[in-house]
Amino acid sequence: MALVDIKSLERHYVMPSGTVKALDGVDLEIKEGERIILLGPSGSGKSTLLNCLSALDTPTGGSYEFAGKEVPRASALGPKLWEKISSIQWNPLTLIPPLRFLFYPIDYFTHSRPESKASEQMTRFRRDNIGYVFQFFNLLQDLTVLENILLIQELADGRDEERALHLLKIVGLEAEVNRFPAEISGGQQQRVAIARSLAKSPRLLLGDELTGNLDSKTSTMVMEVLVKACEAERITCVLVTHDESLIEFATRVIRIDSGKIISDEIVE
Amino acid sequence: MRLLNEAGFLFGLLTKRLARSLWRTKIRLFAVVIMVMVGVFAGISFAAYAHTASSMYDDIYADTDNGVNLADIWVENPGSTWNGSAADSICDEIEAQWPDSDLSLNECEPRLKLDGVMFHISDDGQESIIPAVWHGIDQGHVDRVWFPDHECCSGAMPSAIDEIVVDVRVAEGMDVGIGDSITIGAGFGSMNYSVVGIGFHPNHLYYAQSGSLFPADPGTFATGYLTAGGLEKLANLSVGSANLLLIDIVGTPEYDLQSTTDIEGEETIFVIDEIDSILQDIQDSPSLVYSRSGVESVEFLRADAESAMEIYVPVTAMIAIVAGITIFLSLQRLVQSQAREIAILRTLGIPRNVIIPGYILMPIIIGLVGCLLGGIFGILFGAPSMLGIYEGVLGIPIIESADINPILLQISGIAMLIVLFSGILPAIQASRLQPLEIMRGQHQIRLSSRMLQRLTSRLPSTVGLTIRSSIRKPARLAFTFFAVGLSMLIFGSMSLMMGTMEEAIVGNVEDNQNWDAEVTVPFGGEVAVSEWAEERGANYELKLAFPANPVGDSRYLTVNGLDTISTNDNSMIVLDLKEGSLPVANSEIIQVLVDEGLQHFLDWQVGQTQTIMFGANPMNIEITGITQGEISRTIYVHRQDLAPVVGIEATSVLIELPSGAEVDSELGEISLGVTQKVDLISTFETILDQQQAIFSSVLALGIIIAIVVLFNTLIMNLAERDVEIATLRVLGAPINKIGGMMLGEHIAIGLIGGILATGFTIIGTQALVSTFIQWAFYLTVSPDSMVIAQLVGIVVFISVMLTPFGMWRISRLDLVEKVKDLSQ
Repeated sequence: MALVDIKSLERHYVMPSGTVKALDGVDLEIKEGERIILLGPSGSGKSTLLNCLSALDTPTGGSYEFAGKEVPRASALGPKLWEKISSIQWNPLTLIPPLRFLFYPIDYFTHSRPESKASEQMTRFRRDNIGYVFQFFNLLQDLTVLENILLIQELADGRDEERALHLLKIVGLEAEVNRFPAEISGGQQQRVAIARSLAKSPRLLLGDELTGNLDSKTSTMVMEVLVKACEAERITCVLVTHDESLIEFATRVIRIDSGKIISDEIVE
Repeated sequence: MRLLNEAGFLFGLLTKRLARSLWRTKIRLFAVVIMVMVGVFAGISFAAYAHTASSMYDDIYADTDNGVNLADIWVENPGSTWNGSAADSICDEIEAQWPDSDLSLNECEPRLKLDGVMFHISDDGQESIIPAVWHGIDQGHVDRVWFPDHECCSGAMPSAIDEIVVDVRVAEGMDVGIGDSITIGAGFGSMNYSVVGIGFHPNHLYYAQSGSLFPADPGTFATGYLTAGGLEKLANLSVGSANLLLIDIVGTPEYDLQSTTDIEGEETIFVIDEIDSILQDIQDSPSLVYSRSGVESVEFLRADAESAMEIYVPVTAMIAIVAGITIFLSLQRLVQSQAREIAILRTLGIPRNVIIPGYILMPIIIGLVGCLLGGIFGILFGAPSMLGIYEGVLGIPIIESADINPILLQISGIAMLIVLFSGILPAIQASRLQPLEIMRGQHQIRLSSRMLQRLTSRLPSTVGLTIRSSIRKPARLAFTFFAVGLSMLIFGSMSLMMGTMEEAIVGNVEDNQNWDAEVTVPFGGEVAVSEWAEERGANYELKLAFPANPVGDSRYLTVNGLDTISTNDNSMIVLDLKEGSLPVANSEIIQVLVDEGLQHFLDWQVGQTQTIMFGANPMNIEITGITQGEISRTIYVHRQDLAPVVGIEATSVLIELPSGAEVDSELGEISLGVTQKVDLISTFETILDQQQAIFSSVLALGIIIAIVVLFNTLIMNLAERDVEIATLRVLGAPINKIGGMMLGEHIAIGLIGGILATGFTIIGTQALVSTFIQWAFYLTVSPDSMVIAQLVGIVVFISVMLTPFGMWRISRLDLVEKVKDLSQ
């Protein structure tokens, strides 16, 4: 069974200038243990695909199953009552801001509450299944290297200091556990971010331009660490990048353009 | 020229950009404008009161046809009366031996002034005996009765011996009008008098019983102004009797103020000393000679106007500083959030001096709008309301209000200056931003505190982060706490002061005074009152209260001679001994207790021997202990030690009435006044009720300002945390756990802020109290646990209240957009 099974996935944005099809009928299966590099020009839809994979974004069409289960998504809700009222052209009511509060109870039960519930289900999905590495590391500056990892564990299931130290050893930072992020290099910070993303044993690790802020030597080192860590933890990876040189670390390369997959190759 | 034009164009663009950025935080912007407005509003209100009151007293006391020609020196015979020839001969002697001074004698006028009672039957038929002061006015050139051109007053001075002018507060409080007949007494039965006028007396402008700091409740105190003959008849005294000499000096000389340690009016002091010597030579009974500072009403109103004058600038400044800090923090945050834009502009070659003016112009605009609104509201509502409250509480009509224009300029000037300062530092910070550092993102990297990390390393990371985040920006937090402290000071000082005063007055009367009525008696009248008490099975005790002053010091204190000096809860007056021991009667040197105010002002300590003067008669005293809780300066001594020195046995009788027994007209006719404990408490409670609206407004004001300041900082903290929180949310952190961390952070900030604000309030209130305590009014601020709990609780509550807002904000975070930011 595929870990990820996407069929005819669509993500359309309705803009005043027309509909933008960021994803336009994507079909994709990802097996456990694969390391996928997602390549494509700017605006091709690769980040949107990553956001849909992580349940940060809700597709507007198609299906997305993760380990055989439908991934939660925010249901399509129409405009709020207040939005309907205030959108009527030249409406003097909209000049009285406190009026909005009168509609709040209705809008809360018809929109805010369902949105919030769906949002938490999507967060739970991420917590249970997804690891995420950002381009700019985004470590918490007030916490040490070790504490950055422990924090994620505490916010998820529970603190496991042994595992946190083990992950830091995998990424080669066992000597830096008590340093603050500002005291270590960019490459080291990205390695901490990788360890952090693995802290709660995700099944799928997503990276958005995770070497984009690093020089080539450091990029290579970070990718080696990532591959090592993912292999050690048996984690599937999907990494978005512009950098063709990262293909050497992948088991599969997918190219995307205008919201469609244009090539899908297995790397030997 | 081209360069100037370009700079002007860029300045315009930058200012527009800044204004738009500020407009995005319009709620905060409005809050700051409102703070400036409130500062100006409060300043104008207080200033109008202070200036109006000051000039009004000067006009009333003036030696003019419209003024009352307030005496400059009073000579009082507290132990007896001079007969007609004696009073005139003392005046002649003073005139003849007038000291060689720059001050010239204008007039010496004998006057009879007696304590007494007014018998009043209310509409429901209830008879009450009201303590009163009656003035017998013969010539009436000095200390005239004031009949202002106002609807409150009418009629003329009495010309027949059965005519009387009553005070406006008597007319209003007891529904007495011209033509009515009233029944009054002065220890020798009662008589009816016909009311021929309603006016004010300069010695009773501030309408309170002797020794009381608070205006009398309507119907609990009366004063009336009779002919000299009328009062002599009432008190069964011979023609020309007097116990007061009013000395009027040409012009209005300076006199020594009780509120300062400096010596003002040296010439007046010299004349007083000389008159004292003259009296010592010509008569035996101790007489008191004092200037205007010795007349309670005059001194109280002067001190009130003076403190209002002193307070309005700090109040305005305090609120403006809070607004200034809020503006400063908001602009600083703006500089931070616009750092990249500023860096780009600097990289493109825009000079520093083009960046600076915008950041200064914004506070100026905020200040101007605040001043304009504050000015309008202050002039239209604040000042009239304040003067209305003044008229309501003191009962004195405002004939002419102070000129508002200089006040408006002064207050707006103070507010604008403070607000302007708040923009200078952010402007300099903005101009000094290093483009290269910002482009590299180095300006945001700040090493966390290693010490704090060590201290919190054993805690869960969520708790560690909560604590470290709370104090991530110590300077901002310090400024916030300072501003919260200032705003809570406005509320807290009022609560602490009221708590202290309530304890000092109501608490003291309720808990430490076990008598039900204090009956003032004429000389020798204690026997009749004692018999009255015995007949009704009441407990009673004699009290001898006599004014004195420390040797070489013109300030007066009261020496209370008591039969029982005790700290026992059952005694008639329960003393609160702060240190030392109780005095022993019949000691070689008379042993006394002194109040802590005397310890404070004169540095009198236990074990010392001091000398006090009863007029010209000295008395040595040995201090065995210090008491606390007295607002006025007081010495306690055994009555048997005091009586031989002043030649009087008692001035009043303290009576503890058995159940069923009541004060009656029989007691009224043999007394010079009956003060009932319930009236004293009711007077203060009425004052509290009257002021409740003001206290509530001030309280609400302080809390609202604290909310704005705290919200401003916490919202900025939250906004700065967006990236962190988005990261955690993307990594799967549930909103309730982030909410828990936020709650913990807000509780921590609230607790730290609350404790600091409370400390600030206590220190601030003590400093505030120390500025207006004076000889006649002394109290110490004791931190009340309820008030402290309230202050801390309010700050914690405000802080915690932001958690739902923070949660709402998180729930609205667009994670897709944030991830774009995080990855680009």
